[in-house]
Amino acid sequence: MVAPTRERYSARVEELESLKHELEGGKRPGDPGPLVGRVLEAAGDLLRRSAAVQADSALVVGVLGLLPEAGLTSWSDGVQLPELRSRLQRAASQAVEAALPDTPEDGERLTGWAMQDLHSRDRLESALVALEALAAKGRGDAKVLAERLRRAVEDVDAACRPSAPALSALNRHRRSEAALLDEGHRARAWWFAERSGIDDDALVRVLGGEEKGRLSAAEKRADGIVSKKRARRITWDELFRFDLGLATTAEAEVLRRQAADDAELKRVLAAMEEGERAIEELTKDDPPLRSAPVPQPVEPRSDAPEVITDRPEFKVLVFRTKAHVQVVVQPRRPDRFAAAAVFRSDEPDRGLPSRSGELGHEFDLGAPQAVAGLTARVVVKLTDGKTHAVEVKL
Amino acid sequence: MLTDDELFAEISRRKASGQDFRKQLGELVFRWRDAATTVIRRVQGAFMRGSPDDADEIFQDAVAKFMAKGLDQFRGVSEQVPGKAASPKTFFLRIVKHCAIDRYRRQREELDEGSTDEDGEELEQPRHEAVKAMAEARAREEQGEAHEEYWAAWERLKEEHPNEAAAWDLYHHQDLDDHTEVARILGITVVNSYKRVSRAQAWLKLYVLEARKLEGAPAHEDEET
Repeated sequence: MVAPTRERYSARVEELESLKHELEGGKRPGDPGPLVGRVLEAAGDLLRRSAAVQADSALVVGVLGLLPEAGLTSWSDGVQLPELRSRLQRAASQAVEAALPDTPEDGERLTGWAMQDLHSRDRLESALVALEALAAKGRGDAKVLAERLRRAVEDVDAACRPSAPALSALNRHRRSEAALLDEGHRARAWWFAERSGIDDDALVRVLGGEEKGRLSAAEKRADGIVSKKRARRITWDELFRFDLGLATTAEAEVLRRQAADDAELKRVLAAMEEGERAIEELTKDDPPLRSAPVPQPVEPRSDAPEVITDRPEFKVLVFRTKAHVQVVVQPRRPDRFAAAAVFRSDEPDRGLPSRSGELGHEFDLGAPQAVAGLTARVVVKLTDGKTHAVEVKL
Repeated sequence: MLTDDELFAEISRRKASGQDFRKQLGELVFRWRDAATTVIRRVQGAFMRGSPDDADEIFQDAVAKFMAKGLDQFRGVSEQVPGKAASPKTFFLRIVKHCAIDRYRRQREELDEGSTDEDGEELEQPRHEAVKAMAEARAREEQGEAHEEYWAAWERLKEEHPNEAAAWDLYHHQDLDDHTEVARILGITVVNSYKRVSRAQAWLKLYVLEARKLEGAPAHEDEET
């Protein structure tokens, strides 16, 4: 896998030459930020892999010198650090699924997605290194931006780096990437290098109980904590949901099993019944509701959707008609829902356009025959920064 | 004077438009106070615990819960089971009922824990017994720490991977230890159950490790043993 990776970075030389011509060509209409970002990433990719990828350093430094101040500021303002943090967290989560997948195909796909997220951190690192190189050449504007961004990125790393053990599930690909980095940069690139040794390749499977293997003292401790048999106390929310008839089959089963040999839980259920009798007595003469105080949900369409996931914050539905396959992301808690994006597996880097429809955010995936055999990745971001990704077979 | 329905509709409208609705909510729940007290007394009777003074605190607790997330929850409930809980009053009284249950359930648990405690004798113990007691105290503290770490990891698993959490809950917490049974309850395949439990286990351990790292665990913990 090293050769294709090396070729990818070698292609940055040509890209940088082309970007240089674009910058020298004079004024481009619109925001210069995106062009500046591409230059910084390409230059930084080469600066960080100087031993593995041959590039003319004069070309790299020369192109960086052409970057306009306004473009640097615009690019820097557009760097989405909360998004980066979510991506790194998602990569760690998907790495575990990749190591312990339902099917081998799922494993391959999830590995690809997780690596894409790690690459987003790596591209930002390249841009930062290029910005720092520009600052070292005496560009005061670059120095200010680089220092500010470096501090902010360090905060993201501090929060996400502890999840590096999960990334060991991607080690084959991470090692290929880490091997190309210059030594100093490799030490900094924890997303590719930390826990990337061959000894760690099976770590997630060992933690998941699917393989035997060596563990550090901390991992043994975590293993002991999680493996210890524990009974779980039924929570307020679970009892409440059960009482309202909203418990899932599994939740109701858990409650039934616990109550069978837990006298205290039996007493709780008896108190629930007694309280319910009191409520019925107290409300039996109340007049029926004359108004609907809560907005009613929109009537479902005649073509019943397939429910892909149903969480407290959102639902993901798929409508399949003869002409179209459509994914609908339906916020259920508008206060917690931030954004949704859908990517088709044949174009994993391009988010599909959406529109607001009567049921939620609608994404057209195309005609059924055109998307047969593909998958779609639905990514939903919540207001607390967490993201949830689900996969839809098309 | 507005009816309960009208007042609740006004609260919903204010909440949706980001306006302060506390005054209207206060007025509404005040109307249901006597009913709430009756529910609390009936729960007290079932537990054979409590005093009339508890009612105030339980009522305040219920109002706080109703305000914090009950209004959104009610919306979900009225959509999903319209016949059962479509009235805000019934819904609020159920919150009251559960607040009362939670209070007396906790009281019983605290009493149970208290009855097994042995304290106040340390000063009179001989030295070797004091050392033993200290070691036991340390072990208890470590156990308590591990307990907290585990349940924090569990909460995170429930939030981030509910499917895996449901499988782990049955397999591990309910001691089912049987993938065929877990699969049957969850309506999934046996292979799925096996994979979900494996992933749950891996995530839980990784979460424990992560939390420990974020808290600055001692470096020797990273050494292999």
